Amino acid sequence: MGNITLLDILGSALIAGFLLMIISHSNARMNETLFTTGNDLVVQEELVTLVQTIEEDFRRLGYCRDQMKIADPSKALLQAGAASISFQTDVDNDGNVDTLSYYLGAVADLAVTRNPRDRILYRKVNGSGPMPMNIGLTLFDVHYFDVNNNSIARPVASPSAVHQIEIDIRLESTAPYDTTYSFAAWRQLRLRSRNLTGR
Amino acid sequence: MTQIFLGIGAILLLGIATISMNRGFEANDEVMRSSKHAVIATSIAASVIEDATGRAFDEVSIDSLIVDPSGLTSPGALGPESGETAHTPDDFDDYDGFTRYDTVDVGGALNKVVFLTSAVVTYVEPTTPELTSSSRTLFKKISVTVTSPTMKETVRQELVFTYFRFQ
Repeated sequence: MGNITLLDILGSALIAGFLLMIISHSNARMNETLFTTGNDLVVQEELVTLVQTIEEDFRRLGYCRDQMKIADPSKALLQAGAASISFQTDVDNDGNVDTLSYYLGAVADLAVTRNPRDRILYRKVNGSGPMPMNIGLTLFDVHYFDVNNNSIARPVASPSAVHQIEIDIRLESTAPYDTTYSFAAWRQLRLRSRNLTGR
Repeated sequence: MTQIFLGIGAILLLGIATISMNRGFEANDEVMRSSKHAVIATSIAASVIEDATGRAFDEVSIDSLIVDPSGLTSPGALGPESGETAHTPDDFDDYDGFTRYDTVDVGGALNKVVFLTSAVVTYVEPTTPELTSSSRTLFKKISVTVTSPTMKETVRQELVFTYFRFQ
């Protein structure tokens, strides 16, 4: 009788241990899924919003409602660097030429987040203050190609030689789950502005 | 002894519930991974279309003005001309038959993911752009398809390119 009771107690303890372990693992997995799913969603939404803005702006590179104000669109690209670009455009379609710049901020600008790699992408119109586009950007890499699809060394010495622009963007979550950051990437291989190569 | 059997039964039930829950998590992970890769695939497809629309409408329109569609490349001859490939295009329909593998670093456990991009160019009528036209028109449609073993769905983008020229 005593042995059977002892066996029951030991068996119960073992089963309880298993149950606790299973519940604990399931709980951890559920937390991970909830956290990463939420992060993934935020990062993807941020990426889509950012890409929409960039595409709209870059498509207007060299465009002006009053076309005589940018008579030679090949000179619309003012500065072309690896993580910065500046060009003439007509941001608000009012017929006046604007200078639009994109550039990547320093890592220290986003020291407040836990992600050590994320930066702010700034968008600046004319002399106004730079507008932070988003947080969580870890890659903003711009490549330039000439009319023969040859890559041009950056920073581009002669921006008028640029016929195509390639932009790689990568966003990561500002906080990790454990040590893993959620991410989303956009690989715009070729962005060809119709205004850049002549009307 | 009865209690032990009851306990084992409880563990089995919990195990079944846990496996079911884990399957749900895995399915969720797969959907998220697939949607991430679909974003990249969309960007690749958009890039190919972007590149194609920057080309001349037809081989004959590179250096001259088109006034009559009958002078355009015949529907059966769309694609790279002799001496060209889909990777050295000089006009829009050179993208017909285009295929390319892109390996993209997506981070995470998968790290590198391969995307297969293919394109088809056809003539279309402006009133029925969804149908392939068997005759020459001033409208060509490019259909770009991007697939990857890591994506549940195929990404497909289409664009109708129209001949225009500023005088």
